[in-house]
Amino acid sequence: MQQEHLFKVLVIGDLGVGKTSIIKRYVHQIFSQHYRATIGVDFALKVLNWDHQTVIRLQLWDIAGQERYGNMTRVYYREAVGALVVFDVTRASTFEAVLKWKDDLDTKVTLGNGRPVPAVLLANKSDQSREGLCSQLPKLDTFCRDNGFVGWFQTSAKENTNIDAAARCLVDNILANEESAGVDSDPDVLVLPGLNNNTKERGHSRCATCSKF
Amino acid sequence: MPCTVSLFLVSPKLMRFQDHHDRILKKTMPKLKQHLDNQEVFTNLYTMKWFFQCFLDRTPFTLTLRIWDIYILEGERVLTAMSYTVLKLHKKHLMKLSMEELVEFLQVTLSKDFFFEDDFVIDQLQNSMSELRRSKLELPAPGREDEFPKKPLGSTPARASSHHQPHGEWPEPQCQAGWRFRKRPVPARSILRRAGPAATPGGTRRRSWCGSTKRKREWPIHGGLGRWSLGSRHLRRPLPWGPRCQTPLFRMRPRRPTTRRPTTTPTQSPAPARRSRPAG
Repeated sequence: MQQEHLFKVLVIGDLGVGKTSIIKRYVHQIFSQHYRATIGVDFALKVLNWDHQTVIRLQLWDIAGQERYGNMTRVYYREAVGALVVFDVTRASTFEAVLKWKDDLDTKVTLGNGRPVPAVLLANKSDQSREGLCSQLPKLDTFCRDNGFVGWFQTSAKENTNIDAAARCLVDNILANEESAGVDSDPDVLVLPGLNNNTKERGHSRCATCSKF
Repeated sequence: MPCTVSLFLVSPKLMRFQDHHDRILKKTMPKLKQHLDNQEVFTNLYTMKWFFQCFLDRTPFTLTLRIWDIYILEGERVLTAMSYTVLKLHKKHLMKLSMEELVEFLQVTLSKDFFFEDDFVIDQLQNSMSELRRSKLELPAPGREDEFPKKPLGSTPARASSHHQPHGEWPEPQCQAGWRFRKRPVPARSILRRAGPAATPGGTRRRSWCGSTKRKREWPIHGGLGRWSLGSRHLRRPLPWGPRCQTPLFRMRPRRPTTRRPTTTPTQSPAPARRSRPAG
């Protein structure tokens, strides 16, 4: 039987690190040199034929990196099951902001079981890496482990490197979470939204439609 | 519909317009709404950019300009009216599309080719507006208190200060003045002042910009003026400051706090200050 999944994935990171470019490359296979700030939020849909019996639709939410949208973006985090956190290898400040984005993510959204959503770290603009942080990159393994990222990739939207691999890594983790969630839940217990003992969940009860995201 | 509760907490105005769009669809094109819902293409996804950016990047640029023109003239009613028009014009086609195709069509295809002449679309938009007005669906219910900013505009969120430079360049304190400044019907008056009584002998030009008081009263009624479908003629009509001017759906950037310069003194103070900064 064919299985279909719809996953909401956030793409976050500082201003101008290439979030929109990554999505454009991944979904539409295009790249543009010109910078254009994202207003508020945008979304794109990527369909993956995962294996012969699984179709996965990734709803990629492109969140504006500008601070002025900070208060608004919180709403778009809801119901997300994964995230790509992007920084620009040529600008150290964007790497410093990675933890801010990760904290933001973890405080605003968690999985049904209360665990943080899987996040993959993308070191973007690797085609220009000779100018920047490339000497730091080997340390990213420990950085990821310490800060709860499931992995990291050196990507380039311009040259289309590693974006597919990063997305595959994220989807792998999302699927693993889905399966463990299926095992964890006791089929005899029906958890009513709003009557949840988990304080994190309280206050934003989900309807049936929402939980699909 | 998913996430309406949460949207309400943060973007009440966006949600109010999306709800209204839903109401229009439900009443006018229930089958299409059903189809979109079945395909999980929800209102809060595909109308986001329409409402945030007033159709920029979602319609061909020439058409976008026309819509922006009408936005300036008519206000926010154009947002839901145009959303309705887009779906109405492409209804037959949309009914055949699946989720991916719907997203592609609404987001990408239409931004390149709308499949109709701009003039035709604008005519249709005008029809939609009168249709919605007749059905009392022209505008969503007025916004509630929580829709309006509580903090002075122009300040960046508190967490901005922790890690890196906030991007709102404007300093905080004067911003409220900026807001008040904006709400005043400044442009119409400043135009008058610039033209001056000397430049308008007999006040003829004055009338062409501002209209007589009798005409002024006509705007809010939004009768079948039908002027804006005829090219750029409406550009010569007065700007709709006043009763029909509402709060912007989305403020792009806080207005630069201007200390209002007295009109009589020539520009003396700001220029040297700017020049001296790099030197020092």
